[in-house]
Amino acid sequence: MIGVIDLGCNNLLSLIKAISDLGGQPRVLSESKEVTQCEALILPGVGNFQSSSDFLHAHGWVDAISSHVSTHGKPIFGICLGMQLLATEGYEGLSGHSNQAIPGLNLIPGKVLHLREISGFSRLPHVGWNTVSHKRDPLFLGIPDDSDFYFVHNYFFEPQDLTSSIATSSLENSFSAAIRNGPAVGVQFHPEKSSSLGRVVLRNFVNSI
Amino acid sequence: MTLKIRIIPSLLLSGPGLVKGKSFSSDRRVGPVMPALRVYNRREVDELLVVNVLGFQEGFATRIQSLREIGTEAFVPLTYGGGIRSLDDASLALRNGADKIAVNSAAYRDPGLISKVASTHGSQAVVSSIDVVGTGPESWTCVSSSGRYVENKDPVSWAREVTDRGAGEILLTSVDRDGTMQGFDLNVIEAVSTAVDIPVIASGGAGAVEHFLAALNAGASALCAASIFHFTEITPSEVKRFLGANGVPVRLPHSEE
Repeated sequence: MIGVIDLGCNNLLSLIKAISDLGGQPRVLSESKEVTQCEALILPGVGNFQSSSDFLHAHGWVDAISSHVSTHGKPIFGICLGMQLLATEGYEGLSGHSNQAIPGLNLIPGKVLHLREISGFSRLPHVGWNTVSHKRDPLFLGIPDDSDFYFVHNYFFEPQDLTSSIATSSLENSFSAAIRNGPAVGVQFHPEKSSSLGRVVLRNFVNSI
Repeated sequence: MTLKIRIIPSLLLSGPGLVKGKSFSSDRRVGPVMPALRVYNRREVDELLVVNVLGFQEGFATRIQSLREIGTEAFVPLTYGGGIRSLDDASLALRNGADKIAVNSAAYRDPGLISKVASTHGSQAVVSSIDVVGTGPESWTCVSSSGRYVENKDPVSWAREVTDRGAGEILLTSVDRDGTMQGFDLNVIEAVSTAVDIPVIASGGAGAVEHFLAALNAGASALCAASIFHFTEITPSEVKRFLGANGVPVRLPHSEE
């Protein structure tokens, strides 16, 4: 069973349908104790880092996920904000404003910053289809390099260790489009919204379990 | 490595059918929603915009189920607008199939609505929909309630205000051009897109592939259209092939490469 963690504010319909169609058995989890029943987890997310971080900490998810991934070596797949939550910490707004680090799940060392830090002239949020260049991680099996995926976000993940970046995209400068640290993997784009190639990414994750 | 421009077909909902009105004021029924949606799904369009044109009267709650049906079937990014009046409405829409919500009429009565939705869901989930009548800076004004109410606001100032309040994108529609298939209003596109640093989706007037190129050159990041796709043989992919041949970064669906 693939547990889909519900952060409360996003659209899970397409994702659930896509995973079902691929033969995975998705179940939306309502309590953190259900994690132990799952072979894999998906953490989708749209919204903001602060409230999602608060939610994960307040309802036992952090420990449950940590045990699932770090103790049992089972996979977790983060999507968009979900990928960002895998980080050590996130910062809201731009540097220069007083902002504290907001704790993430710390499964992939790194921090989450506003795209304005690396894209001074672009219109933000970064919305639309952009090219993804990948390093042939199993998540991208069967996907031609430099294919387009759908992004919609204001923040990006800056990994501490560059080898954890398994794919990049670019808006004036490069940023991680996908990251991995062992069983923890994440994509900044929305595979459930990226048509046929997005479904291939989801299929690859389901097949890897 | 480039961000591509987007061609976004729109589906206007009115009652149980699908309607494309000319200049917001008359009905020209096209047919039921779901078959049209499935065609766009198969064509792997960049995004879809679904608007309930009676939303300003009906609100949103009565449409949750139809949004769910659409949201379950749509494998492309979906923006929903029509009758979103509160943070609760926005949250419900985002839970039930929408990836982004569009707010139009309600924002004039409550500009704080945009800020509330943006701070809860992120600005990337909020599209500020601005309908404009008039032909130039002296006559432009925003209108609401599907064109029935004149707001007496200048579109450029309003665009700046909604941006400051946290809108992620602007959907800019020329009411005068809508349904005419005579081309986009390039002046208003240029005026608004130079005034803000968020993406501007231009809408209203597309009738030929050349119109899209002109609108992009005027500053739009994405283009929305309905009549051209309903009433001519031109498809979104054909538009993008034309644009690509003219040096514009476009995404051609994998199935069509």
